[in-house]
Parts: sequence; structure tokens; C-alpha cells
Amino acid sequence: MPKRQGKSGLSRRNFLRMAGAGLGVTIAGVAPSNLFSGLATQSALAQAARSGVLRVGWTPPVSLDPALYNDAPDISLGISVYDYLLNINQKSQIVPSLAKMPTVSDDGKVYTFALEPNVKFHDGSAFGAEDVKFTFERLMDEKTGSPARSLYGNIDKIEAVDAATVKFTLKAASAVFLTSLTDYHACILKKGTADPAKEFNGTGPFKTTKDKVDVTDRATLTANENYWKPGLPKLEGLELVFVKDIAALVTALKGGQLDWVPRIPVELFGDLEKDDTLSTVNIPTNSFPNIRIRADQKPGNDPDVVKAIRLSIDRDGLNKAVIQGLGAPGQDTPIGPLYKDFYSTATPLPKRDVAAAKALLEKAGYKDGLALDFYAPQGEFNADDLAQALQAQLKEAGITLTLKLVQPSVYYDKGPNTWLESTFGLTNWASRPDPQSYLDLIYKTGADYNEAHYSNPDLDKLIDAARVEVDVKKRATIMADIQKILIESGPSFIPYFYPLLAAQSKKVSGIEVAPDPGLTSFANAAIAK
Amino acid sequence: MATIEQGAEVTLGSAIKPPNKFRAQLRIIIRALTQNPFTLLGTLIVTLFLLMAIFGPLVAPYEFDAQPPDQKLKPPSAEHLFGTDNLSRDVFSRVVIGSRDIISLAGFGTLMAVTLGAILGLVVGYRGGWVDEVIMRLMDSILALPAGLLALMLVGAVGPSRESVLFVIIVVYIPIVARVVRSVVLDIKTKAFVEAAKMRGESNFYILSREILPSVLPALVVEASLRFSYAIFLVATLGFLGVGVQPPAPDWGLLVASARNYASSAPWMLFFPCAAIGLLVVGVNLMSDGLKSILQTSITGG
Repeated sequence: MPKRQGKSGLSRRNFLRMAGAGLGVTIAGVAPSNLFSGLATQSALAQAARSGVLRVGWTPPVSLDPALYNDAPDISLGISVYDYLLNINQKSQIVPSLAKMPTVSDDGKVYTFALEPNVKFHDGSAFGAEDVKFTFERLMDEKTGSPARSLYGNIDKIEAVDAATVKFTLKAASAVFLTSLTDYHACILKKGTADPAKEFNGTGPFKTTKDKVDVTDRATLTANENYWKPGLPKLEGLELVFVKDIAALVTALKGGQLDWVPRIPVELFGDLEKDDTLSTVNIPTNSFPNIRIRADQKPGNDPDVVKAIRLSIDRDGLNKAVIQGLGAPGQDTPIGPLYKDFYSTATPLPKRDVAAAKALLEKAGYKDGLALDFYAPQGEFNADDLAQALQAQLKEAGITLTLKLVQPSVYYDKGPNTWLESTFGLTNWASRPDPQSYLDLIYKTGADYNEAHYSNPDLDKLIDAARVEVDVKKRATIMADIQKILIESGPSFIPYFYPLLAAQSKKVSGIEVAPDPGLTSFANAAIAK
Repeated sequence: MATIEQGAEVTLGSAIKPPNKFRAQLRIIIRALTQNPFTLLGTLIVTLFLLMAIFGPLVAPYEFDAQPPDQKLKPPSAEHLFGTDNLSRDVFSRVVIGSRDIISLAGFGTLMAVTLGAILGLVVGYRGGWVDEVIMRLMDSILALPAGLLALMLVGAVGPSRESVLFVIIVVYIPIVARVVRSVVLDIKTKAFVEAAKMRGESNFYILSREILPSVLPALVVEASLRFSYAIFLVATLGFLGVGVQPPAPDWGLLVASARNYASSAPWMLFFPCAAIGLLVVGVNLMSDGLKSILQTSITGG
């Protein structure tokens, strides 16, 4: 990937964010069926059914323009006000939304979508193909500065065939094109929208205006009475409350001042599980701490050292010690169990063996042990605890770590000993709908975010093959080969995948929590009186 | 000490002697520390913490960074006096070992700041003139910044480590000490015994160290003890903000920071390091109050 393209493309901080889509779990809830009275007409029924205002606790949003969305609160406002062309459901499947499932040309390059008819924007105007074209061309425009731009680099042209049909022509067939349309930046805007951060003219279940969105306080939304999905939303209104301190949000939830709070730190979660008025949920994600060693310099350029470190780590022990065992098990590859189609257990990770690790270190010339600095982003998702637990484990094998905890804003910037430069360190990566982006960005030779400076021509070939293989079974075989290489000789040690922890009032039902918490829809949510 | 007879070799002006000598001062200080029950209590607390710091590894029942399996978040018991933390580490051992960092950093930092600040205050106060103007305006400009903010800026510039914490304490407290000492010197240097020493033709060094310093000492001791308690806070604050001593060192500020989110589920993790900081600061303050009430009179009387 050329440097220039990478700079204007998907930024790591956006990519890193604890977000992304994938498999999810629905919070079980009973629909308030008593609210539906058999005598009312269909539309009156929908009217009567709407009741209650759901109060959601978020940290303050970073951007209000969908093209520049960065953090989950931004996306949460987006999914409430706008719709996407396609969605990813809880089973990691792509499902229709504003567009029906497309027809694809034989060469896999032309995708034709029929659009949902009778959809209206909040200002009353009709939704059509020109709006789709406008939205994606805006994201692809360098001037917009969207991190999603690199996702759509493969799109050759977008045509509005007629008002209800849109055609995407690709430069090359791609296994990830449809997934890229579900990207959270791709909220469908009205054609000609000058500044979405001020207009909020979407087709989504809730509507709002500029003066009702205060990023330092809250965003107040009301139900879209003309929403195209019949009977939705069930709520009268939605309030996104913005508070910087997550502990304060949790306290507000306990005190009954909020109804739903996602992204709860592990250390606060145990307490909520004991609370009778709340129900909690643990959603697996593919977000992970990437403990990686530079492959292009000492000592990580010696395969024996890498293997010794791999043998010294007790991944399950780290999971238990650092995040109370709530995470999904990792095996040193970014392809986690969340990707059911691609996760492979064909190559088992070697069991922890401190004696063997010591022998390997001695063979590599570190008879008296190995001393290394270990860099980690301070305070970011239990990184401090993980670093200390790792330090204790490696110490047993004679590898002495000196911890260097760096403020994330400094660590993820440029300079010596930052995330792309440090010899040994930890980087947190966000959950993504498809594992391809990790491979393209972190493991391919010369990739922009190849933090380990790793290069393996065999792996590069497999990564390129996986990108264009549309057949899932064939792609899974390639993915299994990729995992074999990473487990045997990769530069990463991935102990676990973070869980997404959320809690809600027991009065609330119908919230389908997505692994990217921002993509959690409130259209089906209801509050019991 | 008895053989030292300051006035013996001096004939001129021997009738006008500085009223206090080191020995006398020392006696006053010891008396000050033990006379008042509160001061005595403070002294005892500080002594206790000092002993804890010195004999830490003997007192602590476990290694401060040992992470035994399946001992997570255990409440206080006979086995773990202060309970265990989220990584199964013994909180009592961590608090005990943590006292070494905080006391040595705050103590040594204060000592350096007081020594350097005192030298600076003595020199500029005695010399006066443009040297005084330039240096004191410089000190004023440092003092204009709140200590915490200045500390954060400095540590941001040099990076977090034990050495930088020490450096920060010294830089932040030198101006404060220098200003206090200078103000005392300005008063003392007009006294008759200083004039007399000048007339005897004593060197500046002699006058500063033998005539003026003893009179400054009480104020310096009070200031030092006060600075020590603030330095404890500063070390803990920097640790809490994550820019001080780095983990896994059991710095008290770090302990409080990492225990914050466990406040309701494992309160012992938060309580004991907080109590340790509080107790030590109260102890030092009681001690310094006692010193002040007794020594202040000898300053003005000097």
C-alpha cells in the first residue's frame, strides 16, 4: 500500500477504536404485548405503541459527520438518525436494509441493488439511487477526509440506473465489498447535504436537529413517525447522555438515571452483575491486544527468541488475571472465534513450557536471560494490568521486562518507541466485520500498520489470495494456512479477545447489542412502565 | 562537640555573639518534637513509617509483585492482612514496600530542594542587589505556576521515572525554600552580631555559615518538614496520574489509581493505600506544627 494512500485512508486510531461489527447476542426481553390493543387501526396502533424515552449513557462523541465518525457514540447517533444500505446482523451475516440483496455479475465486478421503495428522509423528500451515489462518492472524495476512503478504493463507478436501482462497478472482484458497504461511516445522506454534522437529515428511526445535539451534554431524539419499517420505532424518544467518566455513567445506571450503558470496564462489571435491577450482557468481539515483537531487529529477528516468548505465555492465565476470564481465547492470530467461517483450530498453539523456553533462549545466546523494555498504551483497556501480568509470566522464563507505559495520545503518534517503532510492545485493535483488514494492515510486507515490521512472502501471497476469494469455503482454507504461519512463526502474541460488556435496566427490552456497541440499534427497544 | 569553642580565638566583638548555635538549635528541635503530645504522636507515626521503609522486605510477608493463581480480590484476612488486588498480589506487602519509594523520593527530594533552596536564599539574601533581583524574579516566575501543573509539565518533558519525580520535586520546591530563607536572611543580616562579624573581617562564607545559617535553621527545619508532607502528596499525585514511578512498583499513588474502579467491589484495595498516604501526611504535619510553634519564637528572638 503506497504511503500517501495510507495517510488519507483508514487511520489506525479509527481502526483501533473498540468498535466494529460481527457476531452479537440479543438481550432476551419480552415485548410489551399488552400495549397492543386489537381494536386500533394499523397506523393508530403504531402511534399508540410508541411510549417511553430510552436514556443511553455514552462518552462524548468525537464527530457528528458520518464520514468522519470515530468513536462508538458518534456511530450510535448515526444508526439512530440514518440507515445503512446493508447491515450486519448478530450472526455476522450481511442483511438488507435500504437496499435489497444485490445481483452480482459473473466476473464478480458488477453489483446491482434494488432499493427499498417508499422511504422518506426526515425532511419529507423521497429516498432514491442518487442519494446512494452521493453518499459513497462523498466518502470516496479525498476532500471529505473520511477514514473509510481506502475501503472504497476498489470501486470503479457508481451509477443511478433509475430512482430505485443503483449499480456499483468494481475494479477487481472482492471478498469484502459487501462488508465494506456496512461500514459505519456509510450512513445514507440526502443528495446535496452540505454539512451532515448540522443537518441530521436521515431516513432512520429517530430524528433530531442541530440545537438538540450538544456533545458536552446530550442528544435528544424523537421517534420518526414516518419510519419505513412498520411499527418501529417502539419508543417515543431517545436520549443519548454524554459523560466523560465511564464510572459516573455506571453510577447513573445504578441510580436509575440511565437505562443502558455499554463499554463497561471489567473491574466495574462484577458489581453490576449482583444488582437486581439490572441485567448484564457479555458480547464476544474480535477486539484484541496485539503483543508484538519487532521482526526486523534484535532479538525478535531470531525465531528461537520468538518461540521462547510464545512458550512462556499462559494465555488463559492472562485472560483470567487481567479481564476475569471474560475474554475469548486467543491463539496469536487476529482471526478470532468470532469469525466462525475462518477461525481454525487445525494448528494447535504449543502449550506453555517454561523449561523449553529457557533452553531456546540459551540456544539463541541469552544464557543469563533476556532483558527488554515493554511499551504499552497507559490505561487503555487494562493494558497496565496486562503488562504487569505478562511481566510476571515472562520473568519465570528468564525474560525481564521493564515496563514503559506511555499516554495513548503519545504512543499512537510518531516518534521513537511509539507503537510502530518500539521493539516489544502492545497495541489494542478494534473488532472488524472481516479479518481481511487486519491481515492487509498489520501483517503484509510493508503495510502501513505493520507494527512488527514483519515480512513473509508466503504469507503475503496468502493474504492477497484471501482478499479476492469470494467462495467462503475456499477462503477458509486460505485463512487456515494464514493462521498456521502466524501460530508457528508470527510476530504476535494474542492472549485473548476483549468482551463487550453492557448493562441495562430490567425495564428495558429489545436492545440488540452489536459487538461494535455504536451499531446497537434502538428501533426495537421498548420500556415497560 | 564540647571542644568547639566558637568565641575562643576571637577577641574583637566576642561580646556580641550569635545567640544560637547548632547544638542549642538541635536541643530545641528535639525538645520541640517530644514536648507536645500531638507532636510526639506525629513523630512516632513518621518514625514508624521510616522503620517500615527501612525494614520493608523483612516486614512484608509476600513479594510485592508475586501473582499467585486464584487469589484475586480476596478481602482482608489473617493470610492477607489488607486483602489482595486484581492480580492476586498482597496489598499489605505492596503498601509496605511502596513506603520505600514514596518516603525515599519525597525525603531525598525535599532534602535536595531544601539544601539548594537554602544556599540560594542565603546567597541572594545576603548579597542583595542585582543578583537578588534577577534570581528572585526567576524564582517568582516559577512560583507563579501551580506546583501540580509545573510538575506535570516537567515530567512531560523528561518522561516518567523515579529520577524525573526526584527532579520535579527539587525544581518545584527550590523557589519556595529560597524565598523563605531569603526573607529570614534579610532580617538577620541587619543584626548587630552580623555587623560585628563583618567588622572583624570575617569572610562571607564564614558569616553565612557560622553567623547567619544557625539563625535561619529553625525556619528551615519547619519549612523542610512542611515541604516533606507536600512532597509526599506530589509523589502520590504523579503516581496516581501515571506519570511518576512506573508499575509494577507499588507506589501508593499508583495503587490508588489502579484501585479506583474497584472502589465498590474491593474497597480494601483503595482504602489501605489511601490510609497510608493520609496517615503519613498527618504524621508529618503534626510534627511540623509542633516544630513551628516552638521554633518560631526562636526565629523572631534571634
